[in-house]
Amino acid sequence: MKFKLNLSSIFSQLLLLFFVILWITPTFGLLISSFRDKDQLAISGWWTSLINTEVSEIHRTKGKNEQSKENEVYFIRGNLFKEDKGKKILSFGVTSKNINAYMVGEKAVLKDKSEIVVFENGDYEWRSENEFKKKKGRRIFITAKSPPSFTLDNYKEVLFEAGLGQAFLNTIAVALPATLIPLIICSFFAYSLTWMNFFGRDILLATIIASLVVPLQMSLIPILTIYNDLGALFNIEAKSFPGIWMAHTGFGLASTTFLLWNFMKSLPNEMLEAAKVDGASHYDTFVRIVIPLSIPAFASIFILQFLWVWNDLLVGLVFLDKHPSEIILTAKLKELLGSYGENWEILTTGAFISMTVPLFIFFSLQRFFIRGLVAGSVKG
Amino acid sequence: MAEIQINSLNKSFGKSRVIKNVSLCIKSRSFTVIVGPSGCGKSTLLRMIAGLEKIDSGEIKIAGKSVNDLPPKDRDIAMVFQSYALYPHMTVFNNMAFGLKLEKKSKIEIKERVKEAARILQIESLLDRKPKQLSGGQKQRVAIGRAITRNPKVFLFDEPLSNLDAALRVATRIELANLHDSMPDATMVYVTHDQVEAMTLANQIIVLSEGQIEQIGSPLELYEKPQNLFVAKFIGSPAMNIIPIEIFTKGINSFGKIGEKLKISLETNFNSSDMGREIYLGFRPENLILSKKDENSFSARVSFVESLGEYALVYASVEGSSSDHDIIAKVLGTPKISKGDQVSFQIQKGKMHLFDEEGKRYVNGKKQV
Repeated sequence: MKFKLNLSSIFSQLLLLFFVILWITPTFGLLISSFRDKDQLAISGWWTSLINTEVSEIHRTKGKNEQSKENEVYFIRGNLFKEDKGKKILSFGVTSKNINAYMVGEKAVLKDKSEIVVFENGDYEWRSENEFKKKKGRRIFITAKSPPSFTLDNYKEVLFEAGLGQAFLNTIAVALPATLIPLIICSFFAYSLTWMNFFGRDILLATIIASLVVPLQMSLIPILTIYNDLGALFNIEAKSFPGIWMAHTGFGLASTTFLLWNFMKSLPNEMLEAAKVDGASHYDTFVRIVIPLSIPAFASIFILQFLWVWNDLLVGLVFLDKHPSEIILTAKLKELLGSYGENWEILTTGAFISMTVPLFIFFSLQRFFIRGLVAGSVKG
Repeated sequence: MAEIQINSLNKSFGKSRVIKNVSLCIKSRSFTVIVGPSGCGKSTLLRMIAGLEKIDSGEIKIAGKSVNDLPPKDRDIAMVFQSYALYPHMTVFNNMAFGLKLEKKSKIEIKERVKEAARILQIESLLDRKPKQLSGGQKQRVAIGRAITRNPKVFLFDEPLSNLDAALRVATRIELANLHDSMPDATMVYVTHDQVEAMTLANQIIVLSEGQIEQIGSPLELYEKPQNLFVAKFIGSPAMNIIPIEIFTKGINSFGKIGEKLKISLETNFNSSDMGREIYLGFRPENLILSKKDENSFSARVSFVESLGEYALVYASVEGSSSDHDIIAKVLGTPKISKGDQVSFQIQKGKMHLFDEEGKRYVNGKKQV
């Protein structure tokens, strides 16, 4: 196909570019931020972390205990940096008034006639005719180029200390069954609505479509009341994983059925009749023909429902406790926001962890996603 | 041995009656074609035989057994659909084996029967392919193969050739005819709107129109003795010429009047009570011959000529008629006629068809009952 350059295509390309940038930028920023050192994160934006940055630091030389004597001259030698992070010193100073008085390698002459030289990698040599008397070393002000530095410490802290790891597992324990259960139920349901004749079928279908417009917030409290009553009756915990699975199943039932019904009725009628003539019962037809052909629809509905459950906060807050063993990721993030509001490294890392699964699902199943959105437009 | 007996069958979709009190018999081992214009109920009739449509009233018997309440699989039938209706996610082998697998046949038997069907249809090399890797003709063969493997008593074909292109249609038509010869025990019922398919394949044709049977007979019977105007117009291409005619004289060899001036011998005996009645005269284009002007000829003005080399189709309007071309003549060779010419036509002896006001055929001045 030849690419045509006209105004509307340029416009749509630009619009696409705009949305891509709009979406990529914060995601990328979050990713970078989550790997940055927490001290750097606090003072500079993520976009500065990809290039060398100039930092000004104060270090202290060693004191008199470390001095050595060679040919009647006293030396203190060492390295200003406690650990090598690849920083390169550009200039240094010996007083706070003038922190880049000397270039690297230059000799700084102090009041007591001693001389200090600082090298690029932080090595220094302090030379004096007289014995050093001070126990504490001298303060050296340096200006250095610092290379990008990234760390996994944030993830270690968030996953294992702040408890986000457990919340992550909890969310998987909620989202997988809450996606698979409605998918299984609704595929049977959609098949019967599409290919079986029974009394009240059309009314049932109309009811399902009508219930799509009912906001789920309306039903939260009544359902929770029922759960509480049931819990009290059988003396079990009202808030539990099976409870939230059922809740999500219920909330997803209408849309999942509708989408599947929409897909299944696009399957060619004659093919199913051929199966009937071949001797297939409804169950055979469903299992051997309709399900294999509905895989794209299942995949796209799986994505939609899974992402919805994954990102859900409200249902999780209502139907699950805040124990570490039950709390879901979104609720945990909200909790962290309250208690670690200042600690950006925790929040950015936590946010990115919660994004990983949707991102993974989206990228690995995107061909199904696109196929699912146009499901039914082309006959199979 | 599987005769299909249908007794006063009725079917309605909502308010529209699709099948109106149809009774017929499809003989065992016959190749019966149900033909009719689209919307005449022919597919519905076939689907009722297959068990895909419920029967409102009446009875269908296959091999003497009423199948009204039997599901398709218990009727000992197989059906080939217009859209092939293959299972797109299965290989050709699995498509053909699907019915046998559901019957829980042994693997060896399934393999043998699929191989045998594939051999008959010459699709052995395609068994591992998926339907989307096949051409239209190959798909249709697989669909037929799927029917063969089940080894049914009755084959039902629902316009199986209409999705194929013209050349392939002719080739597949011949193969279908051969298939029937190679399976002499099978009864085949074939639905089509294409009268050429009907004429070439069938040994029995059922013409259906608006849910009613117009005529049942062999292809030649339908061609030579159409029982009514509908069949007369439907069978044959180009269609039979039909012109209204007024009975003018009585007795043996009565004359009819076309328009104001023309008189034509009707080769039929009419009574005096028939005088002045408006009836229809039908004759096939190939039964018109160019002739000299005499008492048996009538003249017409040529409106245009389609010359096809082997023969020419001459469109003409009968003298005194207002219409532009009410008759077509099929003249062999390349006649030297051009637009605007006045020519004389004669109808070959014994090739006239007369129909009364209601469209029923006359034989020797008597209406056919």
